[in-house]
Amino acid sequence: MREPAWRRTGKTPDYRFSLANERTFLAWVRTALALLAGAVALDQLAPEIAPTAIRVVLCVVLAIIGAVLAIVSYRRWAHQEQAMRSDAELPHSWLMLGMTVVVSVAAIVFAVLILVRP
Amino acid sequence: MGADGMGAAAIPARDPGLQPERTALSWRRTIMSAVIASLLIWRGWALSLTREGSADVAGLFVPGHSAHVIGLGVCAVMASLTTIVLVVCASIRIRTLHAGVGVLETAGHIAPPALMLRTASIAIVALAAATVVALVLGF
Repeated sequence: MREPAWRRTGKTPDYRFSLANERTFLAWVRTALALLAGAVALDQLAPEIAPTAIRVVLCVVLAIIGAVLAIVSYRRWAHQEQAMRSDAELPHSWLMLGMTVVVSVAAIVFAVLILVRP
Repeated sequence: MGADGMGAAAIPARDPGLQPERTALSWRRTIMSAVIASLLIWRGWALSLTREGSADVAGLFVPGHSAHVIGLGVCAVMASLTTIVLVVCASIRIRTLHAGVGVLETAGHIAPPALMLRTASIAIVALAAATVVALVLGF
């Protein structure tokens, strides 16, 4: 695999912007890893939170969101750098809204599960 | 001491905003998150071994483990491999970042190679796959 073609277009961005973009990528990657760790921790440490089938489905959903987030964070990083290289406006991303919804829904679901637990 | 000051003036070794240092620390935090995620899978495997009554090291090599325990073991090894890939990416990157802003700017490639970030993303997808398989197998 070579460097993608867009890496040779436009001008190299200021290093501060490049590194900020890299740190944002890493922050999303850690969010993805936190979802994976959370899924396993929930399954292992809170087995009574829901019947096994429901619990496993919820944890698998969290882990799959983590996998998708890892891919989306790379794409976001690449799109941001492409925009910086061509001096374009930074692209709008639904990632923040999407993850806000995911985290809120997860919080509500688990709050309800804890409340209704016998 | 004086010579050091001269060198620093010629090539700024440090950025006032500590950008490379912050980025290197960000990679370190990412490694820690990956280690925690994979250790939890190892914990699940260790628990399943204990339930099978072979928690001691010698018991690990006695044949006759259930498919369930072997499956979790494969997930744990897979999780460790993905973590090792991330650690290798991070250590290469941290070494580059520690060269200092002066060196990085003259080299002209301060941004990480796209291949490195793609590898890191794929490693996390593989870790997620190991997580899903482990969850479906049950701890």
